Amino acid sequence: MVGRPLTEHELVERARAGDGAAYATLVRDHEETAFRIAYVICGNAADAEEAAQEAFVKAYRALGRFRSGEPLRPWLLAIVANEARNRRRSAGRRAALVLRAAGEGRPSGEAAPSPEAALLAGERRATLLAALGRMADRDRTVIACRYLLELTEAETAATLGVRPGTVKSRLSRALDRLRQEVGEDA
Amino acid sequence: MLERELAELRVAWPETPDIASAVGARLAAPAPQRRRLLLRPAWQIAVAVLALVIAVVMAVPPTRAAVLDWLGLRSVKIEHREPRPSTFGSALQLGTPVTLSQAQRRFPVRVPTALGRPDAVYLSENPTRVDLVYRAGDRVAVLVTELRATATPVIEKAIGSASRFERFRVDGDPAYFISGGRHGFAYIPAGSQEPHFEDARLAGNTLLVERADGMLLRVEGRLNRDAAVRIARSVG
Repeated sequence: MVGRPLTEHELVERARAGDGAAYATLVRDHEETAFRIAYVICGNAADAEEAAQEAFVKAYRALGRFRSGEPLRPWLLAIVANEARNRRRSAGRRAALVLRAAGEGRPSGEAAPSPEAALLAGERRATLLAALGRMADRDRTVIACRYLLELTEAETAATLGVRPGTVKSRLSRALDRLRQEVGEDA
Repeated sequence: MLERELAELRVAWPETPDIASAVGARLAAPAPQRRRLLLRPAWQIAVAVLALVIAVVMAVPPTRAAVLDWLGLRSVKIEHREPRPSTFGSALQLGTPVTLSQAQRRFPVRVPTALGRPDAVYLSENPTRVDLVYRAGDRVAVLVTELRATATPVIEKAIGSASRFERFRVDGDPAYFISGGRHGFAYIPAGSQEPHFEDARLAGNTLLVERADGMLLRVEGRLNRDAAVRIARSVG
């Protein structure tokens, strides 16, 4: 019976029983997304790290309240986002979020663009990310959750602390504002 | 089109730190870690208040040994006696001075663990409220008030115009932070319809937390919001 990786449900049950290694596995599975969400909300890596760490400690202590059988990720992300928001609030005002594009972002298999096209595409990405960084928190967070972090609607709702139905309308308004910001008509 | 561009964007995220190990270390040793957190640089109240916290923590036997240990002061002998009711802070006109244990026999007092044992305790008639006074030198540094009341319906009454007012939540409970200027606030005592008005007792800021258990918690002093929230959250 050795070799089969434990399911999330099994790991949660073990963590609840006090198995630290099981909980560490769960944290590893989710720490990257958690940290990035916290980064989007806090705006800097140091606060994001502290927020994510604190959230996972709190989540461990709250595991008894987690409803067994539900997906763990939305529950965790809600705790992380809440912790990040608390931290941001107590930090007061902050500078715009700085996001940089990495590499091409072009679907694999497409031909490499000409140098001119690559330059234009790079400028366009930088413009988009800079505009996103300047947006109001609620607009930026919903766009980041859905597109940059590729969260589902349910996960986004948990992260924002809103009902799933609210995500769609909030996202559509945020996209409209981003279009205006980068000088594109809806 | 914009949606597609966003979906294809690859962000250069900061490198994800090793959160799992840090969390594991904290969960393996929860008690000392939490104590230390309290005293990190982020804890930005005056040195006087910091000294007060240490002094207050030391007055509580179970934690004293641990605190002395990491301060390297294990050999210092500290006497601990049940105090008589202290009248420190009586100028604030808070009620009848009692000892903590007297107050606890008559009212469900919750001592904020971030501050520990208060220097003076005042109980109102009936009693419907308790005031915990913390000193730094010869002045009142922090005042923690616990009363059976709600504030939300009338909160914005009586707040001075020179004050800043923030609404937020502390662990899901409505919270208000009033800073700057001379200010007061209004609340409705449990079992009453009439708002009461309460002036700030100290020159400083006021945090109010309207807890789901029916307690209205006030933390007042020269504290920034973060420090006040930490104290409020340590009220069990």
